[in-house]
Amino acid sequence: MNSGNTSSNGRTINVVGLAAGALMIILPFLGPWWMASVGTGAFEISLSPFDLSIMVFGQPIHSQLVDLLLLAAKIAMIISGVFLVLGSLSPKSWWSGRLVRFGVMKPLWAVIGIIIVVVLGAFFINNVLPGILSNAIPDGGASIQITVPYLVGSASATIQMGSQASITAPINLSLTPVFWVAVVTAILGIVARINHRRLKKQ
Amino acid sequence: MRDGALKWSLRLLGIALVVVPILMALAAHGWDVKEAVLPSEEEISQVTERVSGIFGGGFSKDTITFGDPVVSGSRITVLVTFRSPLKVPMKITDFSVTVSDVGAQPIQLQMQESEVEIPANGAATFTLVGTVPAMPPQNPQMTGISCTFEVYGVSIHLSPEISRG
Repeated sequence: MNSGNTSSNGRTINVVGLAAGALMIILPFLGPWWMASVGTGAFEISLSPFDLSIMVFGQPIHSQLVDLLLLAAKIAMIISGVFLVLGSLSPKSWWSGRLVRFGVMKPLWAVIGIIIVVVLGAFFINNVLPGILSNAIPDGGASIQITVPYLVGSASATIQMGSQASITAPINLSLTPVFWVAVVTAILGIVARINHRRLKKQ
Repeated sequence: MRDGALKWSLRLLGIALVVVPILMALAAHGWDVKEAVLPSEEEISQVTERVSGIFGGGFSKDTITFGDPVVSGSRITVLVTFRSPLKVPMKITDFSVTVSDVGAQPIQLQMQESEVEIPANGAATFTLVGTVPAMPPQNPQMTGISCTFEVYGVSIHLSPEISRG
């Protein structure tokens, strides 16, 4: 496999690494990877490894610690992308291996991380939240049924308060096209790492 | 030597990107972990205000006004005026009333419209229709009311108990 590793002036470059690096640099600016909504604007979450937006009835809420950690993840991804581009432009130099390895796997861990966070969140909502809400509603007459899909899909949550009132909220969960751009970036990152090792040995 | 320096520089960069934001967030909140992690009190109070603002003063006996029933053959219609206490638009998707009397067959009145949209703090009228039985009640009383409405796409169903007498 050549993978187009030679530039027009005969210099060896890791083309796959360049593509992965470029995607890593733009990935933090493409928007959310996963979205969830309850009703039409009652509750909305937009999530990526670089941003978290939570809106309750149109009112945003933030955690400064989470915001700063996500900002750091954004900076780390951009730096990793720049390092991957530099390492891919000169794969035979002594420093390229370190720069490439610094962040080439970050998109893969970001994809795996976001899936784990969403699945754990759904597990919490399905198994723990109904108990907490039932205890929080006075008189103990509330029966809460929430079945949230584990990553994507639609469902509804029902809170039954005795025989006199019930609340039913449609829930929609979806992965955005940006998630699939991240998956492509992760795959390119893995290929770039293998390619880099091969070029180094040549 | 230079490879080792690069290796440790990159490791320190990776660590700094995790540790620095945590320290910054904690320092900004006087090293209070709870304040750094949770949304600010101002944001929570704004959400609480927004939720309580939506439901306004809640439903009262002035919310629903029933007009005089009009009987035409075996069909009965009642005009209902609904004054929304909510500070956001709502949509009534189902409304029914049960009228009965001791020893008589109950009459079920159902909303004729498929749905009725009501603006924030606004009012709307809709029609309840039902069929009068062969032996209509002599002293009819409302014994049941059921209302389903949507706010922000969330469906709320209420069927309050009605005290007799």
